Amino acid sequence: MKSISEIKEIIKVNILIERLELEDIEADEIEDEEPLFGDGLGLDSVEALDVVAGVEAEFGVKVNRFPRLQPK
Amino acid sequence: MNSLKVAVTGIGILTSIGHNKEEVFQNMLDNQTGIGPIQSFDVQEFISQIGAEISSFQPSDHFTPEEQKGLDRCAQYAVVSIKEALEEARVDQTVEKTIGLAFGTCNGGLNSLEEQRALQELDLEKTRNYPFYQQGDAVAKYFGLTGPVITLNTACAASGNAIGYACDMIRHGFADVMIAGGSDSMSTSVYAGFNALKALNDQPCSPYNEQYGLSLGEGSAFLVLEPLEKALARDAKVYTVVEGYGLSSDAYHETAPQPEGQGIRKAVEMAIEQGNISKDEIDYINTHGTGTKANDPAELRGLRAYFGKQFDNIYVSSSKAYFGHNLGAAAAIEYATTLLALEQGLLPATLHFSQAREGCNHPKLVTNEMKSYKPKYFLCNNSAFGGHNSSILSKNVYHPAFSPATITTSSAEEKKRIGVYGYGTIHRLADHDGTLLSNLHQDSPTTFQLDFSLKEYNRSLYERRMNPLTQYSIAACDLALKNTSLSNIDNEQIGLVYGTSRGSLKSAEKYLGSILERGAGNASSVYFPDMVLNSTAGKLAKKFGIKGFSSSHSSGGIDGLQAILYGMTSILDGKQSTVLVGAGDERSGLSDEIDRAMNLQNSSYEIGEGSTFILLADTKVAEEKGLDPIATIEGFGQAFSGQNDMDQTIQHAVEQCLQNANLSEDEIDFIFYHNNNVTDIDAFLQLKERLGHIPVYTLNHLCGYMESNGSLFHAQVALELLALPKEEQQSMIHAFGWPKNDLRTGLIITTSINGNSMAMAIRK
Repeated sequence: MKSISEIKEIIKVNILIERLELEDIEADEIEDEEPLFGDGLGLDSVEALDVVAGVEAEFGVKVNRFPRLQPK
Repeated sequence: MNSLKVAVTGIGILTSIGHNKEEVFQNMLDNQTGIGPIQSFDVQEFISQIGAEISSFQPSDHFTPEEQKGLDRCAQYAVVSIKEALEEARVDQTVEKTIGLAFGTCNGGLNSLEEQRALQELDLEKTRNYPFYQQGDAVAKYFGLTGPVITLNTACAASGNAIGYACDMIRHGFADVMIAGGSDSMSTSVYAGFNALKALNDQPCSPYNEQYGLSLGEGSAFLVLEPLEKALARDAKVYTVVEGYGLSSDAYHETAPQPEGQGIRKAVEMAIEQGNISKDEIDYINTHGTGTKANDPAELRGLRAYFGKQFDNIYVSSSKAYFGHNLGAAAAIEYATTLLALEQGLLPATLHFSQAREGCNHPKLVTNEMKSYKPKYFLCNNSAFGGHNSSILSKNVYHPAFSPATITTSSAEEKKRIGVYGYGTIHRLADHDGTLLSNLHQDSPTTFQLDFSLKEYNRSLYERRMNPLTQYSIAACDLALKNTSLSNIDNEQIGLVYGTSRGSLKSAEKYLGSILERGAGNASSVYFPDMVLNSTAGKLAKKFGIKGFSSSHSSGGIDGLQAILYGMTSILDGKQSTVLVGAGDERSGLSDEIDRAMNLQNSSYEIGEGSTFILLADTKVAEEKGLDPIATIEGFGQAFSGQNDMDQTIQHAVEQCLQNANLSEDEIDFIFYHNNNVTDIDAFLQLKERLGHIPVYTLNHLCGYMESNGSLFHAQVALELLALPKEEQQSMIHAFGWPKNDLRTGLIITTSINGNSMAMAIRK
C-alpha cells in the first residue's frame, strides 16, 4: 500500500512531468492543490484525458463514467 | 467570379453497406447500417466494440499477388471504387490525354506499418506502402495516369479537399479529367486513438441524437470529374455540377471544433461566393455530423449564424449512421451517396434517431428514413482534426428547374497576376533572417541535421511536445511574415497551403510506441492528434490566427511547388488575395527507415531537413499599397509518369509550364532542379543535354535532399537571385559559371521518387 506522499510523487513525476512532458517545471514546484487547467498547469482537455489514463495505468484503477468528449 | 461548372460523370464506392453503388443505395433505402461488432482486431480493452467494417473483402478477388504486395489496404479500396467510377464515366484513356488523381486520406498506409508491430528494422517491402503519398502514387501507377497526382492529407476533410483540388486542376487547364475522392481502411492504432480521446460511442452512432459519440468506419469513394461543357458534348451521364467549394481553418484546437462553428461557416461562405448564387437557393446540407458532443452543436451553430432565419427551411442530415465515420474518405462517401439519393429524388437520413440532444434541435433534420425532396442547390460539409474544414456547393440536376440549356458559358474574367512578397527558410544554410543566398558559396556543411529550438527563437510560438517539423515550419512562416513588404496583413483573411510528405514521424514514433509499450487500450491521447499529417498546418494556423483557404498535402518530392500552385489557384479564383505557402521535412529514426524503403539511401545526397515559406499575393492588391513583387509566378506544368519514363514526364511538365506561362524556351535564363538522384539520374542528364543553352543547376549537393521542402528551397534561392542588384547578381552568375549577364526568368523543376514532376516559371 502506497502512502499519500508516494502517490503524490507518482502523479507529479511519472504522470505530469514524464508522461505529459511538462517543461520548465520540476515535480517539487507543483503544489498539491495546483489546478490542472487555466492559470495552474494550463493543461487542455486532451492532456486531461492522458492524466486519467496515466492514473489508471499507474494505480491499476478504472475511472468510470468519464464523459465522452469532443473531437470532430 | 465564374463558378466552377465541373460535372461529376462517374461514381465508385466501397463501404460497410455495399461494395458498389447499387448495393450501397439499396441498403440506405432500407435504412440499414453497416455499424456492427468489430471483427478484424481485438476490441476488448476499448470503450466501444463496434465499427463499420467492410465485410467479405478479398484482395485476391481484385488483385494478383504481385499487385497486392504493392498496395496498402487503403490503396486497394481506392482501386476498386475508381474502377467502378471510370467504367461508368466511360473515360477513354487514349482520348483524354491528361487524367489526374486527387486522393484524400486520413491514415492511408498505416496498416502496412502497424501490422509490423515495430518501429525499427522494418520490412522494406511492406514499409514502401506506408508513406501517405504512396496511396495516391500507387493508385495513379495502377491506372497509368499522366496528369496531376496528389494525396491530400487534411484528415477528415481530406476527400472534400481532394474534390476541390481536382476542380481547380480542371478549371485552370492542368487536366482533362480528374479522379477525386478518398479512402481509409480500418486501423487498430486509429481506433485506439479515438478510444483514448473517449470519442467512441458504444452504440451505433446517431448524430444530433441523445447519446453522443462516433462510430468509426472504413471505405472509399471516388468521382470522375470533367468540364461540364465537355460532359454534355459527349453525352455523358451528369450526376451533378460542382459550382464552388470552400476550405478554411478554425485556428482553434487540434481536435475540438471552434465552439461557434466559425470555421465551417467560413468554408460554406467561400463555396457559395464561388458558386455565385444566393444563399437562399440552398435547400439541403449534408453535414459532417460525427455524433460527438462538441462537433454537432458547433456545426449547427455556425450554419445558423450564416444562414440566419432561413436555416430553419434547410433540410439537414448526417449520413454517418449508415456507414460510420470514414475519416479521409468521409467527404467523398457522403457526397457520392448524397448524389445517389438525389438521383432518386431523395435525401439521405440520420438513422437510429430518437430525440435531439441539447443544441442539436433543428426543425428540418432528416431522420430515420430518406425524405422525398429535390433541392435546387446543396452543400456537403466536413471538418477535421487540425481545424480544417471543407464545403462543396453543387447544383442538383434532378431539380425541376434544371436544364442543361440554362447553363451559361463562362464570361471573360480579368486575369490576375500572382506575386511573391516575402520568404523565409529554417535550414542549416539559412541566415537568422531566413535568407539563403549568401551562405551557398561556402563549403557545404558536414551534416544537414538541424539544431533548432523554436523555444529559443520565440518562446511564445512554442508549445510543449511540439515536434521538430512544426517548430521549423512555424519559424519559417514567422520569417516570411516578418520579411514581407506587405503591411497590415489580416491573418484571419489569408490562406495557408502546406506540403509535408510524411508529417512528423517523431510524433508518430511516440504515438505508435505508446501502443507497443502500453497496449492499444492505453494509447497516448496527447500524441494521437499528431498522427494526422495536417496537424502541422493546423498548429501554424492556430499560432498565426490564419483562417482562410487552408489545405495540406503529400506528394513525396513536389510538395513545395504543389503548395505554390494551389495557393495560386485559390487567389486566381478570388478566395482571398494573400496566401502563405510552405513545406517542411523532419529527420528521425523512423524517417530513415522509410528512406531505406523508398530507396532514397541510394541517392548521392545526404538527407536534409528544414522548412521554407513564401508569401503570395494578387499583384493588384499589392499595387494599391504601392508595392512591387519580388517576382511573379508565371505558370505551372505537372505530369505523373504513369505510362512514361522520367525524361518524358519532365518534358511534359516543362512543356505544359511554358504554355501555361506563355513563355518560349529562349526566354528562360536559368533552371533550378530539385532532383533525387535515384530515379531521375538519366532524366537530369537528358534535360541538360536538351536545354544545352540554359544553365540547369541543382542545389541538393549543398542543402541535402529534402523530400517536401527541396523545391521551395530552390524557389527561394531563385527569388533571392532575381532580387539582387545587378552587380551582385552578375558576380553570383559568374560564381555559378553561367553564360548569362542578366537574369529575368527562371524555371524551377522538381521530381518525386515515384515519378511525379512539376515545373514553375517565375519572372522578375
